[in-house]
Amino acid sequence: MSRTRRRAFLRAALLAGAVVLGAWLARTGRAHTLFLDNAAVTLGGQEHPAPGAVEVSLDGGKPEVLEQAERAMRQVVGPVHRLAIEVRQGPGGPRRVEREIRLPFGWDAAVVSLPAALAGAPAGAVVTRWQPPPPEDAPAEQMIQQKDADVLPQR
Amino acid sequence: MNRLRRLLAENAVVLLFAALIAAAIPLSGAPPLYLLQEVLTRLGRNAVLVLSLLLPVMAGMGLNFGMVLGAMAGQIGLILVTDWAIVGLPGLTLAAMLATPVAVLLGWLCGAVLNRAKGREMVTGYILGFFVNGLYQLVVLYAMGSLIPMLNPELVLSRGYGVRNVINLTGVRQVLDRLVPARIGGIQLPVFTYALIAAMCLFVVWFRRTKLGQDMRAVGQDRAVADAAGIPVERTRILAIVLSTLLACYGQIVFLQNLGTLNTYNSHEQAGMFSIAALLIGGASVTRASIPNVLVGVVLFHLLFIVSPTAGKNLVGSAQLGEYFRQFVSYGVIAVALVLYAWRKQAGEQQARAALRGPGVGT
Repeated sequence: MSRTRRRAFLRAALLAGAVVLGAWLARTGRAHTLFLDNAAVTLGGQEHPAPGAVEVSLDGGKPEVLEQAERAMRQVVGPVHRLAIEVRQGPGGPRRVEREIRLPFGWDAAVVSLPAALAGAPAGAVVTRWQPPPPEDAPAEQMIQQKDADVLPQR
Repeated sequence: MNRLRRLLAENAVVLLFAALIAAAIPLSGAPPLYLLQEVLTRLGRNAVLVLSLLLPVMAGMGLNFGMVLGAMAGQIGLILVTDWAIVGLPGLTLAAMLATPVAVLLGWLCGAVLNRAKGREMVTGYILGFFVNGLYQLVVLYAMGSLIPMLNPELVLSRGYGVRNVINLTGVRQVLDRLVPARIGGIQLPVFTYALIAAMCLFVVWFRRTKLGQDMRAVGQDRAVADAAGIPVERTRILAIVLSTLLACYGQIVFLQNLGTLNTYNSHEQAGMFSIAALLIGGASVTRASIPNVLVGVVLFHLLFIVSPTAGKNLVGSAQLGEYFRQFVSYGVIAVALVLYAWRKQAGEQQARAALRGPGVGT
């Protein structure tokens, strides 16, 4: 291999390495907002009621108590997280469920349904994309037509 | 006696500023621990930016006023990672990676222009900074959000395109400074940032010993001789500016991660002026600058920054006077350095002419 070709090959390899590293950094450093939702959910026509108080923790962090129909917000970084839910009281009695949740790169925020996670629902039903509510239509600005004579001082 | 006079003359600026600060500290009434903390924080914040000025001085291109080009590149990297919500060390590294090609391109452009303005590099670099600032504003104010898609609506102006005036860098705020936290006697030390600065200093020391570094020194001493020796003068000068712009780009990223806020349209404007002023206060000149000049300059310049408003307030009852004073100092020291350089150059030329005429002429 000639020196020029070897240099070109090395440069191409360096560039490719930089692109791969950049993609990996973007994936692992992506921040997401998670809404941990303890409200009843209907999956495939079957309703899963929210349990009573649950203790939720993400990635082994400090657990947080969520009452029925409560929602908590958490900031997380990276695509894969470990969700641990501990039910204190409810129809199934006390139990602990751990699940892995995966977040797509393009999602700024996601809703994690705790009843769906407890019911063993597929990942697509447990984690859904959060869409901000559409902004309320502001009333159109009213233009008040005034005659010059009404505004200007009279001579 | 002559030796002492020469030593005093060579370090006149450093001694003058040290005396000014020594007088201002008691007037300011600032506690020593507070001063120490502030100086250590500002050393970590600014040292990389000032270090970026060393290589062009070595290549005989004077103080690189074009370093603001690198600062703009760094800011583009930070705007992009903030828009994509990439946070922490990965976010900061990605910002540096994204900014690198922009900085190299701008550095190459700057070096190519400066090669056409040999002997007037500083003023050309200064004006080039204004020109590229216009391009930067065009990109940030019009292209971002229209041609360049922006994902985060909070960063975009209400009209739908263009970036807001102030960006909160919450995701990368003090990421480097807090990576290896250390606290000694109530003083918080940004250990990792210092390690980075030490690595940059080692890079400069190592670079001076490389073939390219030796070529730069040769070009800096005499372009004609370097050219005759087979050194590609123009290419070497371009590389000096490219490396300086790249270091300035990383320096601006380090600077902004420490502050945690980016003023989109003017964070870069003062980067060049303040860094150059700090280097000159550290005892450097247009033709000679070293790592101790960088460190001493940052400490003295920023110590003056810290104490002058309160000293001004305690002395004449107005903090504004201290603000004016520090502005006056930063621009004044650059003007004095440039005048001294021109004066010494003229004196050297006159001496050379006199030596050519011989001892009998003019008697």
